[in-house]
Amino acid sequence: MRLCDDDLGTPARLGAATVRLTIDGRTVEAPEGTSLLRAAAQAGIRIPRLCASERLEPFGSCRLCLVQIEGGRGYPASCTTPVAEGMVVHTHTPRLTELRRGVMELYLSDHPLDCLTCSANGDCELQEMAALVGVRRIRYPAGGQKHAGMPVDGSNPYFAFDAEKCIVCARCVRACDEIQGSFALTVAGRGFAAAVTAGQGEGFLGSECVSCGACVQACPTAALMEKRVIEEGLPERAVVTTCAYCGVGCSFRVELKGEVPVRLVPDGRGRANEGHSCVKGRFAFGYATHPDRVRSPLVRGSIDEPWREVGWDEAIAHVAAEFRRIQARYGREAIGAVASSRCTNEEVYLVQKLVRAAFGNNNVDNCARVCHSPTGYGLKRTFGESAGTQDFASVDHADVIMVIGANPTEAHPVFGARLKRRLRQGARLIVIDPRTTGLVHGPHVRAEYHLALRPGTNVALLNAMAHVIVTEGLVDESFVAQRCEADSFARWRAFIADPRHAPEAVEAETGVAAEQVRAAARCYASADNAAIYYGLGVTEHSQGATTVMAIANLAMATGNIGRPGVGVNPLRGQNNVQGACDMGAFPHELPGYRHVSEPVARAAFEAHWGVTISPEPGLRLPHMLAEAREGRFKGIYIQGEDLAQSEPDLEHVHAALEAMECVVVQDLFLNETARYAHVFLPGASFLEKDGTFTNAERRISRVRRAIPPLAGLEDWEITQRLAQAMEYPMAYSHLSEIMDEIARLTPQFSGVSYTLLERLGSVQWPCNEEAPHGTPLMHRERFVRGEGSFVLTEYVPTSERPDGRRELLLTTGRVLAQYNVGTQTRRTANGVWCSADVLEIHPQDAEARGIAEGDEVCIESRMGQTRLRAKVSERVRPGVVFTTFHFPASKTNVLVTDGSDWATNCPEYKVVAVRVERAAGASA
Amino acid sequence: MNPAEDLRSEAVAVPSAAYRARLLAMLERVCANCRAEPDPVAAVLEHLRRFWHPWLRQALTALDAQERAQASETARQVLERLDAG
Amino acid sequence: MNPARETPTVVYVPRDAAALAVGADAVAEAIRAEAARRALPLQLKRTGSRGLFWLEPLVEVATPQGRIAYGPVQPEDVPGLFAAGFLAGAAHPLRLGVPAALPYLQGQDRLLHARLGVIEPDRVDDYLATGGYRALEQALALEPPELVAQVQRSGLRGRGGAAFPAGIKWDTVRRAPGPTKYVVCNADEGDSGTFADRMVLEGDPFSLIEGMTIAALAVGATQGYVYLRVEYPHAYRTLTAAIELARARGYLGPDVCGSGRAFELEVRVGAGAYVCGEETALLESLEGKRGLVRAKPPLPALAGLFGRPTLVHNVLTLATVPVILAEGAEAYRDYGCGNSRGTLSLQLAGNVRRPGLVEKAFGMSLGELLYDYGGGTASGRPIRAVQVGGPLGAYLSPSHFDLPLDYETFAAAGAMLGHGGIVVFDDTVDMARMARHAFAFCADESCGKCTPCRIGSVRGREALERVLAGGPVEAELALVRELAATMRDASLCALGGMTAYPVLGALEHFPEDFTARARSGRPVQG
Repeated sequence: MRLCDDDLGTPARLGAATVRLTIDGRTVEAPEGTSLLRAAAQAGIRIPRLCASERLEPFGSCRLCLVQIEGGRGYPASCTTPVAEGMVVHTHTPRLTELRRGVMELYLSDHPLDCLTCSANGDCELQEMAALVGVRRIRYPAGGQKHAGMPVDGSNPYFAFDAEKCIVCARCVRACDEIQGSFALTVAGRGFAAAVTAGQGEGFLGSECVSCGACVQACPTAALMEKRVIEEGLPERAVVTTCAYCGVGCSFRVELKGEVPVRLVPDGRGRANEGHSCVKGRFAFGYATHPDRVRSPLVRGSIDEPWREVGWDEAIAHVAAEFRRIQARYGREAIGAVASSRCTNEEVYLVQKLVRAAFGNNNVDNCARVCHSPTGYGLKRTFGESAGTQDFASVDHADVIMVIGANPTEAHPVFGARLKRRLRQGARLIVIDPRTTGLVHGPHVRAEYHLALRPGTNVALLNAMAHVIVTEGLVDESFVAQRCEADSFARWRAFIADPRHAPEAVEAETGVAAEQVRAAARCYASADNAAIYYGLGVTEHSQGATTVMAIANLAMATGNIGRPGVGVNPLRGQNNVQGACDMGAFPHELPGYRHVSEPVARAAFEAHWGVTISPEPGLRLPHMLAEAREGRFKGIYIQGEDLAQSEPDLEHVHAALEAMECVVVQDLFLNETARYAHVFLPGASFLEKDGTFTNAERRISRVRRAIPPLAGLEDWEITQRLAQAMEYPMAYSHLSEIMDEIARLTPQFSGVSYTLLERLGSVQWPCNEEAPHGTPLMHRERFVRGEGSFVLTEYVPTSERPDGRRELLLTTGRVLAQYNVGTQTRRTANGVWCSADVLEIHPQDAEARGIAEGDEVCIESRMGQTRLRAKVSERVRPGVVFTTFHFPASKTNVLVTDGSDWATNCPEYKVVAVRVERAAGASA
Repeated sequence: MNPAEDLRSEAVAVPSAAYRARLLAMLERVCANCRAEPDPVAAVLEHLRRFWHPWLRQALTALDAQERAQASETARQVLERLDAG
Repeated sequence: MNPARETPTVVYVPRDAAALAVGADAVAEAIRAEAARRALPLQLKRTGSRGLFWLEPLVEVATPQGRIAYGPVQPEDVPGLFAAGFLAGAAHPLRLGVPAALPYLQGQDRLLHARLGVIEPDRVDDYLATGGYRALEQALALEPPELVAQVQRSGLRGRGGAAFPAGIKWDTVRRAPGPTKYVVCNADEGDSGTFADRMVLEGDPFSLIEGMTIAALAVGATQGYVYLRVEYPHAYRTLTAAIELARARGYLGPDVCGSGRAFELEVRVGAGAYVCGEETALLESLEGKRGLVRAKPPLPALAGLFGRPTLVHNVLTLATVPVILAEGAEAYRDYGCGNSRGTLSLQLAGNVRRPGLVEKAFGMSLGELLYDYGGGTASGRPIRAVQVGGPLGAYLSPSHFDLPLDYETFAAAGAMLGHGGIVVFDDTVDMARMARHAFAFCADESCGKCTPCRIGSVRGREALERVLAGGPVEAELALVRELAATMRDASLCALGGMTAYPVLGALEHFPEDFTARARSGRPVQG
């Protein structure tokens, strides 16, 4: 039986009125605009169909779903016929049976009919429909025109297109257009020659295809099929879990044979992705079973020695002994931990508990330090909660969308596809980004305003927009009066109205024409619903937190908070970085964002944990490293983060790691940081564990174990054993017990339990007595902090500026096919799309330096230097160069300076003054 | 172990000059970003209290007169208040 | 005598593509040269065609007795015509007399096509002098609902083939909410043997422009498009020139005739796909996409071009609108019979002695058309079959020649008038080949979207090829009958749906052509 039987055939319509009609003698009710096909399906009546899917607009091509309507003429297709009051419909009549058999006979007259040896055998809608329709013979003799023998397009590493099995239902083409928005596929040719074609015939790999898998998902036959299914056969069982790549948090079905994952299929019921996926989550899971995975704990006396395989007991005992030794000699504060935002909420919670209860300090941090810590700081101060305000579905209601320093089509592809869909429906787009991202000029998508500012001038630009809003009477006065602090608003209004913030005054600084800024500000402020989405281009700056607050100010001043279609939405990078922050993996905050100095919060944990918690903030990650070089910080437990590649000022990081006496790395692979480690504890991938992840929309989703941990333990078990070895009692027998403890101690999570998650599928926090089913939209009636607070956002230019020697500004980002430092994606076939980091440079800057496309160039910052190949591109503006940091060999982060956000020390990855020249010895 | 006690028990020498300079630069950035606040010095002190590990605040107090001479007015006042404990 | 003071004689030579195809340009040049040689003052006017194709090139001379026609004229006839004094309307073997008195024209009801062959298509003043833009003037004084009501009262139905009541469509678009609406003219005249749209475009383009302007006023559109088939280069030049002239004279643009109302008109050229004559495929193509048929609903009247309410009509329908406004809805309605009101533009082609355009009130019999106007076959052999309504129209046999030409009667007979194209075949026709051709045409022109049309047309063609090759007949014909019925009832649009008409018509009315025995003794048409 197929797994997608719950597909109702056409999308839901939210008509205001309910229509009553009769289908096959049964009274059926459906919202106005609903198709007959869907109305029938909802009533449990299955009408045969092949071209229809509830994720695609009705198309009406297969002509199987025909029905008869009393008083109507002919045999309308039920997928394209809307319900009408009083309609009497028959879905099965002798004539309909004849017609369906006639049509199905035509399909089968051009199909290989090799069902028993077909890769879709048992998972084929054509097969199923043929059975349903009851075709018993094919009267068209062999020898007629056929598509048999057409070549298979196997260019994509993960799936193949076999044209002879294609029934030209165009579901793949429509999925590419309507869901992903790539418009990479077409049906080329007319009539019988009509054939699904990638691009202009280049094949899938050479086309605009982004390998999101929507076409494969949509295909009813074996025409588009995962290569692994072709090789392995159909999976036997499925486990629903949550993707471990970006912060979208897609729900997937892991389909397996025995303990071998065959494919990952997006789960239509997952509310973050609604059945969509990207090339990473859908296909790039091969790293989980890659031979490089470490399967046994490793220990060594010094980092010059070779590794020695040991058992878990020995490894854990060794770490505990070392940490206790260090604390005895150098003091309690001399050790700390980095929790992994790739791990589950429960695992992160345990790491911070280990630190606070067993280490006895607050020296715990997580990778949000280097990405969205400014978001937490900024949104907490202005709105009162350190998280985005909306759910993803909110974007469907936005009329103006402002994307600031984010590249969702590459870094958050599934949300990016949803955003593009809204743009194609007519929402207007403002992009604030130094680079021409895919959203600025995409297929059927265009930014009305692209404010290509000079890197590092976000605050100046956003202040200028606010200035326009305040001085041109665009403030939503009633919202501000009802919802925000009168005094902080008055102060802010006076501050921002100062002429020094006028677009004209900052034009030279930002490099954006004042008139463009004014127009964009008016566009944002005058929309019915305007939403802001932002990424690391906002946070990874010396004024990251200030920028976040400037964004919050804009949203409050224009009343764009508290309903669908609006809000302030950080696009979070890691699958569980929201969760890692929620769980208190911060040196200054306990779970639920409560400051360690708050006696009430501390007391609750102290009582439950039976320890005393320090009221002073612990060391932030960069300060752990700095203190290591100063000789005070001596031991670190690093869970799933590759500091030695991902941190800025890498030479300093390497020196700091070398200065420590015990570096413990817990990871899937011997990563860059493991070079400096004394103990390596092999962790488990997301396929090997239970737990929960929290995505960028605060959605808590279950992670479910599909295969046993390769090295024997899930990550939380390792942490628990370490705590026990350090003589702090921990004895959880199941993850749900950890979640229960989180719920008991954390107000935002008090209603969360595994039982609830099983029942609802997922839930967005806050989930408590007031919101037992969670909170898709925050700050609806009032802000979490009560009244919204306007914070003065003085623009303080970064000290990282071009000078005579370093004339260009380097900024960094990501590409679709690779993920962050590439630990996972480099161990998959995704390399066919991107196998190296390159330096994008504007043709003018390239020409001035004698650099041609593909030349090796030397890039030098005040911190260090590296070499990359040049890609001459107008996507960057003159004076700006761009690269990614997916490959260790690129050493991109060697260049990044020690500059950081003033409030959170989030590194200033996005602005590095560099000198770029053609590398000596580079071939002409 | 008394946590506060333990913080002071560190027997390591005075922070290096490079580290002191780096911390002063960090402090100056906080000061610059708080300069529009009604009471910048109080705002900076509150920020340090909430977000800076005591070791960092201690290291600031180790700045010598020459280093302090280069500090901004706000930063100098903050340092004085930190010295006072 | 001073030639400069003498009033030049006006000579009319058509520039319609049908006339050009038989040498009208060479004739015009010969006349110019001959007049120059004889130093005779002469003004040559190039008109559309009156639609008497067997007489083309049909040359007319303005005389004090009115216009006198000569034809068909070849260049070598020209010196003789001059010698005979044709500039004064003198006798000559090619002299036809006053054109309107020709029986072919005399019996017609030329409402819509009154200006064809009469005026110069690129002269606004000619158009105005023959009553042009009177209708727009009236329309500007009316409220949109009243305009729509006029069209409803006239009984006008879509002339493109589907014959949907125009007034209802207008009212739907008018009532549809939304600030942006469009009027689209389907000028993708693709039916074999049809040419009435082209003749209007080449011979009287302002009537279409005026009709579209009135339609736009009625439904609230400010932008119109004419979707023109690529095979009509002359029509393209004439129409685009006319649009420029209309704009220059204020009949198009931001302020139509000083009314403060805007209407812009653009011509878009198709890419040669028959299926783009289907209105939804046409809209897709206009949007710059592949010409793929859309499922209905939504109706284009509610969600058409770029998803906006769109009034889509054929050229003839829109060009009829000024007639209705100028003559009055009731006057128009007085023509015709039953629910088929007004006049029908019939286009005689194929094996017919007098091919051409016949505009007649609905209700004339098919036989009258074929014999009284068409004069029987060109070959002189008996008529065996006619195909009415384009390549997907039914094949009718002489037993149907008493049928009156109106929508309902034809529908009841399993046929349809379509766009008014009539193709005549004599008794040498092989109807099995014609049935095969119907499938082959559908296969060639299918957009490929729906399965019955995409695969069914090929399978039908193959089955009939097996029959033609002498294979077993009964089982194949049963399959073909069932397939044709499946295509009729299950196809997405009329292309696949109507392929059944010629196929089933041929099978029903000419069964003898399908049996191997009958086939063997029959001469085969090329």
